[in-house]
Amino acid sequence: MLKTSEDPKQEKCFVKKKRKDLISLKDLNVNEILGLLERGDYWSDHLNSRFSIIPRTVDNPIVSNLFFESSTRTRFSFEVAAKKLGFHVLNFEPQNSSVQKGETLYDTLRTLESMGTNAAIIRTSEENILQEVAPLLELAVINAGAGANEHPTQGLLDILTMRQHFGKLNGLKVAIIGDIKHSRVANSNIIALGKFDAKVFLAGPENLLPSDDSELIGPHTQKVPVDYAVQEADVVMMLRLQRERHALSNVADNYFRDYGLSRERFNLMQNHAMIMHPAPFNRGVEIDGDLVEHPRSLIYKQVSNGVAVRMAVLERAL
Amino acid sequence: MSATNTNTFNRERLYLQENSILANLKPSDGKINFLPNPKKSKIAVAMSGGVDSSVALYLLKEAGYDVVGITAWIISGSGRCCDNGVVDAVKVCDQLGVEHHAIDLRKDFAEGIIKEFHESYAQGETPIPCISCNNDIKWGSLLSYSLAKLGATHLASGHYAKIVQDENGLHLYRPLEENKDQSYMLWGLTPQQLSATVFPLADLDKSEVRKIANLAELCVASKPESQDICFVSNGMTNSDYLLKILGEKPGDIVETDTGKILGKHKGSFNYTYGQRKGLGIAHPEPLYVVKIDSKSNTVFVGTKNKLAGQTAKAKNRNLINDYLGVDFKALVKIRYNSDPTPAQVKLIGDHELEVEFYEPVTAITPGQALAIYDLESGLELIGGAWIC
Repeated sequence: MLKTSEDPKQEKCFVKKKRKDLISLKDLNVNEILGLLERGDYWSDHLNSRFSIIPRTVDNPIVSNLFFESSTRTRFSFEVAAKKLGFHVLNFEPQNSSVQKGETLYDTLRTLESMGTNAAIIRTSEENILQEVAPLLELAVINAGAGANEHPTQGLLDILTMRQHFGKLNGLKVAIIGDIKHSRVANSNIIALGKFDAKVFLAGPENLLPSDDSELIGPHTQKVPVDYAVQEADVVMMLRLQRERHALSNVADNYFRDYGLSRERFNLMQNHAMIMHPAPFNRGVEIDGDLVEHPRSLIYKQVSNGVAVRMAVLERAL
Repeated sequence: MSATNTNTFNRERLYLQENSILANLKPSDGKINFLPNPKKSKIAVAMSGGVDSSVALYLLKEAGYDVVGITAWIISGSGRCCDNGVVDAVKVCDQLGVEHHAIDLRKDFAEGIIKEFHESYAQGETPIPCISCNNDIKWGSLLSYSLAKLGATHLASGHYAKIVQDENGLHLYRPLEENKDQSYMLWGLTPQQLSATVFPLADLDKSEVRKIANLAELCVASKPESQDICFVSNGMTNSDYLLKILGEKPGDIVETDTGKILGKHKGSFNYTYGQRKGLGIAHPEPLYVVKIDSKSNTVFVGTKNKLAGQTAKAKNRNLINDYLGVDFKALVKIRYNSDPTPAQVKLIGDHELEVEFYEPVTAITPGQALAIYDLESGLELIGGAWIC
């Protein structure tokens, strides 16, 4: 029922947005994801081509970066992507974390909107805030990592990297190893891979795996021992130990032996299987330092695909 | 450039890009504006989105500095100058290929500067928030952010003021452009803050700044000047604003000599010392506000001679340079648009000072600031304090 309310937010709920949010990969169907991957491929081929760069003028769109948790790489990647598209980038630097909560975040975004901002790229520690505020705003809300919940552009760049290397996603076997429970990267990957009938092996310390009743667990996922995951997979995706999300002391030493991608474990991998990692990595904690730049590693390809995928996402948003 | 007239030569300037504007400016007063070594500095430029700060950024970049643009986002709401300012600053930075950061200081500003402004009016003073904003926001939060988070060594601004280096250290001077002299607003800078500061516009006048903006085709080149208090919305007068915030507080307007009640007022915050207009009193001689007593909520008025004062007490002093001792002659300016006047300055305790003017001055106003300039040239800003 349409309410006639004094509250502008209530009325705004019914405004159909022209701009496209990207908050969760769950919200996208297979064709939408494929569309993003196609554009991602295009930008990945043209990343350094002068001809593809849109000239800058004063009237170009403005996107705002709001990073309430620090992340130099993701932010820089979004900034480079926006600038390559000719957009202006307004880097909003929060000085107190209360700004990321409910009303205050809404007010800040409304102000940015009235200043002419067309999209807001947000990293926050609050898990469901973006779903709350996005429908109230005309600007596009892009999730750059929300708590332990989701990190959709990372998920997209990971599957883009896999698709480029293997030529397909269907039927691919992907092992995700480590702190899956606290990893928004793992969440987004599990969701994305599920849409393409890929098989996902989950391995890691029992207390860091999602519980069986978690909505992430589905027919395409399977909890397995680490060595099994490494042997069976086409892609071995190692996750960073999320020290800031939970109190873990002196885990690091045993962690590498039990769950890390050591030389020995690497040798268990199939000859065609590739290593991935969302970075930043703790060398010697979850991955042997030398393997990062190994010919069988796609880690640096992931980084450059980050810019390409974010260009596709920003393009779609506006 | 002749270095003979100057008391010192700033050697770091040798590293400026040879053909840049900054490297070729000849100061007419012979005082060389201090600039750090571009090879060893990273300068955060405080940008309001206006012409002055945009040209400051342009000049530094052109002279070979590693620069980053920063804007303090201090207030928000529809149509605030701050909002447009942030966007214009972003656009200028993009135009020049410079990184930009908008620092959210809305909370600091609301809980510091705006709160202080309201309290000061409630106490019968006439505050000047821009000086506190310089001290606490621009050279406070913004400077610390630049040093800690952006790896900057200096903060530059589009203020018209000059820093001169000699064997005793750094001194703050009035700029070339007398009409735009903003040194009065900067008396609160400590020597530490000054040593991390750059004023690229020191040796330029406003028309030259506009000319540079046009030549560089900066998108803000023809933007109008901003005036007034930035957090009072456009179209709202200062007294509308205060009435809204502090509420109506009716009281008496009293003749200071006779104690006779001449009329009523709706709030003492509508008045300032020396005010003549808007009193709404018919009287044979022109009357001026001579005192505001917040305790009894009374505005005292009197004839012009009652406005004259010869001594001023001031608190929370800051001395940029203390080579003059504790009791010295100087030129003292008691408000933004008044002329510096000869006076004897005595430092009292650790934080206060007393000024005795040689000739009486008009309307010494609590809440305003006094700035102290050297007696000989009147060009060097020695320090200042808040009039109480």
